[in-house]
Amino acid sequence: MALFKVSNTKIVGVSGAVPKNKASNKDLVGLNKQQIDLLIKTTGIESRRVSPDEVCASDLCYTAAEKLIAELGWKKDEIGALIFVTQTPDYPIPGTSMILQDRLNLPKSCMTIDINQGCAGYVYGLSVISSLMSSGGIKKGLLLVGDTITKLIEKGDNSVVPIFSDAGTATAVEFDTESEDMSFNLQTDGSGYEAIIVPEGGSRDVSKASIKKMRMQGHSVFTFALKEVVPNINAVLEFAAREKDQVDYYIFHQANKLLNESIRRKMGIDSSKVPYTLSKFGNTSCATIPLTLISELSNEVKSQNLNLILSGFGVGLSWGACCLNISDIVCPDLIEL
Amino acid sequence: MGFSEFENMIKGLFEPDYPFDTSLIASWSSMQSLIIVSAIDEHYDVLLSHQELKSAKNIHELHNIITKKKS
Repeated sequence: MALFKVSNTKIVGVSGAVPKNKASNKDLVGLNKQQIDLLIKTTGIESRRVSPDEVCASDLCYTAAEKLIAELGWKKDEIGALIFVTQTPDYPIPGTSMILQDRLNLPKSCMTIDINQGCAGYVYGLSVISSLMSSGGIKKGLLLVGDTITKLIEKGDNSVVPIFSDAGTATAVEFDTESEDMSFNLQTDGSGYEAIIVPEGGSRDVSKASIKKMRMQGHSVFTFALKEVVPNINAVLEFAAREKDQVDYYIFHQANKLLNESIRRKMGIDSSKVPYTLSKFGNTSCATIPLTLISELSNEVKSQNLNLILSGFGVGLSWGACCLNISDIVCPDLIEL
Repeated sequence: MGFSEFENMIKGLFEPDYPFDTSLIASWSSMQSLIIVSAIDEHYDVLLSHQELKSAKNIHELHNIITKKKS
């Protein structure tokens, strides 16, 4: 069971970048006004960010990371780990984390890892970098999490176009023996791998066209999340010996309003504890959790001591929750690129 | 929950002027289906798969499926 604690590490900063270019769901093609109104009401998504062809997830994360490093006053040669979570890497080979190590002028003593994860990617990535740093060999690490998922979406496919959006984020993690433990509960059900898939472009079937298009079985993803997310969170709360009402904020992956509100009501959480960025930014894949922290809780994370639950769920199928404490972190204003 | 209550609950999920045929589940859009599945989960604690939803022709049959799953 992947239910575990990580000691001696803490988040000290979070930053993010989104493309300047906005797309409105009111302008969707192929739907009438009634259908658009129902879609916006149900998904909670009015506006999305769409990157131009030349901007990759790594560009958004790079920009966020430079800003964060500068505001933290970190010396780059102290950074010992860089993890890049994405499903939209620059190239199939090499990994993008290596390219980012070079672009950010990080030392050759910095280890790098790419993680292919979607909606649960922030929680998974945080578990990996904090575990790597827990023993004290690495004192400072960067978790870069982002996707330009709109590049994988077919124009006019209204099962995915109105939902997905682009963003990149950077999270700074430090070794600190005084920090509170982070508790994780990570789960997987690979039998649902086809629920969200880009079937083309991998080595399973090299005859398929190189143009990659994401397919989503909305019903399967929806019922999976309704079934699995609440028990996953309850288990990590119990493991961390934390009561539900001791949590200041529940930061959910921003899937869609209908699903997230169903989960919130099942959990019995007050709406004031569940911030949303769906209306402004849509579903930015692995970046939704840090983006919501930056966009909606910037003042709180900069000045308060907060108990948080982070919960990601989706592609894989994979899902996970993290119970952690953060206080007085650096959180620069969101960058538009 | 009896059938009438169930039917009212389903109809109440949409604006009165929204085109919505309770007698023909096959005509429901994926968005409508998810709204209904979510409401059924909340009111009945029954999670319907895509296959279960599509196996019902109308909401009478849907109500029967839910009642059977509950028993």
